[in-house]
Amino acid sequence: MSPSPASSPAYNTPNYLNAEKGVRSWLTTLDHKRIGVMYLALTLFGFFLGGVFALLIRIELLTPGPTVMDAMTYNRMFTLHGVIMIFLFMIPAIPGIFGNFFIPLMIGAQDVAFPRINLLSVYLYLLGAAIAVWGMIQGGTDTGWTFYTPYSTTTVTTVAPVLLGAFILGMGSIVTGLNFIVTVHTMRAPGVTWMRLPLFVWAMYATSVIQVLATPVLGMTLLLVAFEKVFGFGIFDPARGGDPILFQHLFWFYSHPAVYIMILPAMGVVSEVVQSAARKNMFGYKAVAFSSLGIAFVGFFVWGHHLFTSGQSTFASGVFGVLSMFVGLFTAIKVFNWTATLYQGAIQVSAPFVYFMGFLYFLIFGGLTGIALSTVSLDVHWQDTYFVVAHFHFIMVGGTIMAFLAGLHYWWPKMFGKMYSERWALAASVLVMVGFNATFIPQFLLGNMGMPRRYYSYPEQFQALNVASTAGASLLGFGFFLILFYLVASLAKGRASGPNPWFSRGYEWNTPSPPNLLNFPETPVIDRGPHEYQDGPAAEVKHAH
Amino acid sequence: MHTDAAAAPSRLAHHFPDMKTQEHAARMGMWLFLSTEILLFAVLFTAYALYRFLFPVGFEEASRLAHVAMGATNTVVLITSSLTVALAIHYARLGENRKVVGLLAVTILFGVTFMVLKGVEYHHHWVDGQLPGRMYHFAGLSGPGVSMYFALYFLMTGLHGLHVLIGMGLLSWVAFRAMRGEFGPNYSTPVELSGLYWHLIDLIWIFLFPLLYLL
Amino acid sequence: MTAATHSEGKHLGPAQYVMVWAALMVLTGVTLAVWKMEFSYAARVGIALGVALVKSALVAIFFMHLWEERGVARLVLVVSGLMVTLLIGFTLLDNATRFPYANPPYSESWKDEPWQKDAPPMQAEPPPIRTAPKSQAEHPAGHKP
Repeated sequence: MSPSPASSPAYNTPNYLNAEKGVRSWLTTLDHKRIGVMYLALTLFGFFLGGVFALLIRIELLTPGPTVMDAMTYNRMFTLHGVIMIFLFMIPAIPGIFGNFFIPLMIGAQDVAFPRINLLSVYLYLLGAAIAVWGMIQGGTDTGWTFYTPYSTTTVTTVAPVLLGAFILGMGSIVTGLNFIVTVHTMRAPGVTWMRLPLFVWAMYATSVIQVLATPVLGMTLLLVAFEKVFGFGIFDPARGGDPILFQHLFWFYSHPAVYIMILPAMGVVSEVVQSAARKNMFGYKAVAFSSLGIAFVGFFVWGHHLFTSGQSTFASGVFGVLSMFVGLFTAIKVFNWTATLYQGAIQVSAPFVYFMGFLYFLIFGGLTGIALSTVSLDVHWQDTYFVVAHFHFIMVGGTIMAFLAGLHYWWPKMFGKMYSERWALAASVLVMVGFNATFIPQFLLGNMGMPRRYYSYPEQFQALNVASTAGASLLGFGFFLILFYLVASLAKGRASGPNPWFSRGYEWNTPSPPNLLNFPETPVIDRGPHEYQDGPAAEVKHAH
Repeated sequence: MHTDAAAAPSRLAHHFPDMKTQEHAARMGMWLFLSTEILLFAVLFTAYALYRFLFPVGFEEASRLAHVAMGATNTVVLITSSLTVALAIHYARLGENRKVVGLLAVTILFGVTFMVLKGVEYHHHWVDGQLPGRMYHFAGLSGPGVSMYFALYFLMTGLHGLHVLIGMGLLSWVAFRAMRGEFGPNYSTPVELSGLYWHLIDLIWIFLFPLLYLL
Repeated sequence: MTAATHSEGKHLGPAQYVMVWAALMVLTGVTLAVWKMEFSYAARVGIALGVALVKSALVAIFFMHLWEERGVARLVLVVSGLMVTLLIGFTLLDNATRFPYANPPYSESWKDEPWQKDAPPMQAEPPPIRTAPKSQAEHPAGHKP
């Protein structure tokens, strides 16, 4: 490894946070690290908004009848929750924050390939978010985040601004993905071969391919709905020969791969965390790298499993059901390799590692229920019940957010040069995991008993489990606030982390923490794979401490 | 690295090692962007394929109302404009900026011709009431799938026309830069990239013309 | 340093571009000729789409310089084409194998079903317009120019 050690005089230059001062320097920055930090602030705000709506939904479901809002308000609430969480947090968060910040550091580049377009993506995010949220406040869309026709084209609420907002957010997502693909192809430092790419970069690459190929389809589909609603083109209107199920095909052609836009970056994050925490190289590097591409590829062939009960042909349902199970295959490859990496590792139990274990549990649980759901005959029973709600929250919240938190804790010292309080972090992680299980396991049971989703009232025999779910959600919300609190506190009072508090051998840790404005004083030359703990795990730790 | 930077001091961004990599990145970015454009149109092509499959008679009857002569003229116009753009790229690489300006001006004129003819067609359809969905009120033809044809006709040609307008804007900007003599053997990327965009417009029209006018 | 990332000697000249253009013109003529000849429905669709594919390949390979590009650009175009095929293919697969009444009313898949007899008739009066736009006098009453 030949880049200059982080303590060398070449690094005694201002870091990216204090090199330039003032709001203007942030708003016009072309630095990928600052753009990553801007995404951190923006997506966390989105997460906060979406979380508030989630809690409102849970409060409404505390009692069988109306609790705090009427049916229409409830419909608007779960739409707001879905749209904000999906488009403002889940999709942009990990690529926007960690992708922007770490891809160039991990491949030895000074920046992403198109820094100006990168900044543009932030503004597209802001513009899209502003239009969508404005539309939801003005008209209060009540269609759910899926905008299914013919309801979305006939509802009395305003839908077009939200559709336009989602279209613009999609453009931001495309721009990010395009930028990453070109960056990985053209900007790798000498020695960073494809087989030496960190697994996070592999996962981000696969994600970017999905973003570029799938997002335009969503954009055009949403515009068609807007046209239909405003001008009555009849594309999805059966009275004029239209097929409403065509909308579902087009929508899920994007939105199913979009599930992998949310989970693949998460898989990349935990691949980094597990290697650093276990102080071992990834067991089966190639298998993990190529299974990312495999998931991205197979993800395009399975969208019809969202249409099993919508009027899709039974033949097509069978085909989509069988194809869906292949996703389980590639995911299992990853899970086995992560657990095999832990075997005989010198494991440091810290917050990132705890979140990694949580991720593993939620992913397996959510993934197995997913396999059950892709079985057509079972899905007919579970379609549109809380079982589905619990399943995708296990993957999205349990999977993606656990990985997001793992990455946030793992890279927090790298991004800000400060160490958070490990004790508080472990306490919060227990709160989050317990709260999460308490929220969604009752929902599996409710769904299996037949409670449908998207209703603001329910029969009385469901109340006990709903109360349990609401209690769990409160715990979860409290856990997130705790995390926010000690992370912000660490910025002010945390002890300096030093360049590499984890003694990680990931490429990104070869820079000081926080990194300099210019990533590398000279182009680094890489002569080893990522996370190569050559001396064996035990020797590494002895050396480290 | 330093020698490369000296050869083209103003064009090389700080984060690229050399111009070659930078141009390769730009071209790859453009191709990925074109791929998103193709997928954008794919939605409309899917809707077209589905409704043509469901309403073969309605689509066949409705497509007889399309103005084939104007559509065919537009096909010739666009293909020829693709030739002029390809030649412009060729001369930009040789540094013959005056030829580039001339060829791009001709291309933009072709674009104007295309849009004018398209406008005339739209006007006829408008006057006849051959409009999408609930706005359709042409008395001469009615039946399942007929208004759907016009919905797709206007969506597909409309989106394509929008791209023609954007392409004309891009080419004007490139022509302006060629007027200042910016292009040569070392630097012709803007001409090539906007040329790629223009060719994609042509490529999509190659499919739109038979689908909407002839079948 | 040279700007060209492509290997020299693979560059096409104006003569080749004009030849490609001529081929595109001929193919456009073929499409129009086939349209005039009124083949069977399947043959017309097949020939028109086949010719369009050949034409687009010519544009992509020669005008868009795929001939001289490195691998990635070709891959991008091929993958996008595959995705378009996938989207169209699976969507049509569904509609083609569906329970007939799950398709839009009076569509082709209702053809052999009893309710199809209620379909509004396909009316094409006055005779369909073929080529040039009509003059104002021929407009149906009530539709002013």
